[in-house]
Amino acid sequence: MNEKENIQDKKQFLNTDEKWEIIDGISEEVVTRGERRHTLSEVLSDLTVKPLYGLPLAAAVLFGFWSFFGSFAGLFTDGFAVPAFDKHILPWLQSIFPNEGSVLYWIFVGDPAAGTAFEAFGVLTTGLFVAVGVVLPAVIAFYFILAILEDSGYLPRLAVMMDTVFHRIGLHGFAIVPTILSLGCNVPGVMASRTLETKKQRFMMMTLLSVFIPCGAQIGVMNALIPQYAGLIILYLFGGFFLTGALMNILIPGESPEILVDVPPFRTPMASNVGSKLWTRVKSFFKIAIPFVLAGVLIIQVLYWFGIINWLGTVFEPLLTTWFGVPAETSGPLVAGFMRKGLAVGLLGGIEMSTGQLITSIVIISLYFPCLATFIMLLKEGGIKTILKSLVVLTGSVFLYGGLMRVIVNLVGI
Amino acid sequence: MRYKIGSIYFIILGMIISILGVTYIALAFTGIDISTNYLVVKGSLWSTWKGIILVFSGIFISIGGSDLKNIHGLGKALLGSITLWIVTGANLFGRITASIPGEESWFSSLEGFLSSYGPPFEPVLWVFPFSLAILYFVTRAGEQN
Repeated sequence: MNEKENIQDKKQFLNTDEKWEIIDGISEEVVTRGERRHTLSEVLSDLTVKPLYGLPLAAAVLFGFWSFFGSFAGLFTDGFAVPAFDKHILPWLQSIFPNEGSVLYWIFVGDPAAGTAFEAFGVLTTGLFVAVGVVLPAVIAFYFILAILEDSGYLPRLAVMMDTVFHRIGLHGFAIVPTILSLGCNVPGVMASRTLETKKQRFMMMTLLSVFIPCGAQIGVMNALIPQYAGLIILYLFGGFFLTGALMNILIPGESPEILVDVPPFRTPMASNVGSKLWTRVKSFFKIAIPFVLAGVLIIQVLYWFGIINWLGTVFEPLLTTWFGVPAETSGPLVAGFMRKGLAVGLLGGIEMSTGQLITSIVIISLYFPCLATFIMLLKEGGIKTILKSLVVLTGSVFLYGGLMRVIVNLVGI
Repeated sequence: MRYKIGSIYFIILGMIISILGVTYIALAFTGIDISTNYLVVKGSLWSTWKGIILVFSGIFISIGGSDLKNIHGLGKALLGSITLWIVTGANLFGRITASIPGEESWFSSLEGFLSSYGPPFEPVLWVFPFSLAILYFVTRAGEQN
């Protein structure tokens, strides 16, 4: 019997105390003990996961996030894109495009009497303005901050902080990652849902994201359209997210297991890493967004030309005007919303309505159906059954939260 | 001695910041705007959010500042200062982005650009320089380690 087999044999007859004695003996020989002081970085690291200190910091980080988002997107959208499109590109296109009354003019330039790119509805006017002037700055700002939060090590801490909240709806702290990603674009958010453990959690996450979380483009357009109410609308949608999540958690059978989170130390983000993440995400978003925005405007203009939007308006008028209290013309942007939600919200700016109706319309567009890209991703990740079940949640949510918003704006008198 | 003075300084600074936070919240609820030659506070929804952050920032600075010698106390004071710096940074970045585009031309004139950085300032900008004193104690703690 060699030595290894001898030890192996002895181990089988040792009780727990004897095993611990051996372990203690080894550790006495190999471990050097001394006094160790906490570093400031470690103290900060501990504080950020304690609710008393971590939650106010999270509130400050999110405040900084949205302030940066609003200022950065505002600079490029209001400071440069709006004057560029309204004063130069739109008048230039209107002057050089031939045959003012033709279908091609209608599709590519839009309304010849329009004074702003938002109102024109053409592929090269509203389409390009929304894609490049509104969506792009919003998405760059969003992904820049997200990359910094990820690389600094703050995101896992936020997951720990949010664990208690998400547990109440059957998810766990890391659900914050797909949620935050969805605030940029629902597509990577739905993709990130696959990191959740159970089928129930994945279905809940995908459904809640595609129904309640507005994408960066949508938030950017909302900010441009009604800056004073954009924050309240987002809060309302988040309220719906948690309320519906709690209901789904009760109604849907399945498990919601606990998780162990490895919290990394704080690090200074490297510019090259942040830059490469930002570039990859913006590039992939651009590939998805630009074609869908332009295709969306094109389809809407064709539908308008053939009178289909007006027909849809007539069909949905009783529902839109009685239950939601919004103008029948909202059906046009609702169709566009299937191509791109941000575009749909932008199109609402061209319809005459009160601020209260605008708020309700934005809520309906946010909830009523995921955009085509998200829809395809839902199909890919969850299959047809998931889509059908999500549609049930979605229909109920549109009627409930859309109708409730109408009541709220009427009561408040907006 | 330095730590004793530092403690008194941060306890007072924290209290001032918390009072500012309460003021922000009160103005947001009443919808009143304050605007003088040197100070401006808007009573908006953002102010509520800002106010809540400032209340906690002040509390952390006061609690941590009272025990600056202890690394845990210093950590709390630093965390409070960081939350204040985030609010200040957001305000400064908003000023920078607002100062770049011009009303008639693409870019603002030099005069218009520079005037965007003058008063009136929000209260957070006035208290921000005083909070930087925490860096002295952070450096000392680094040297001791």
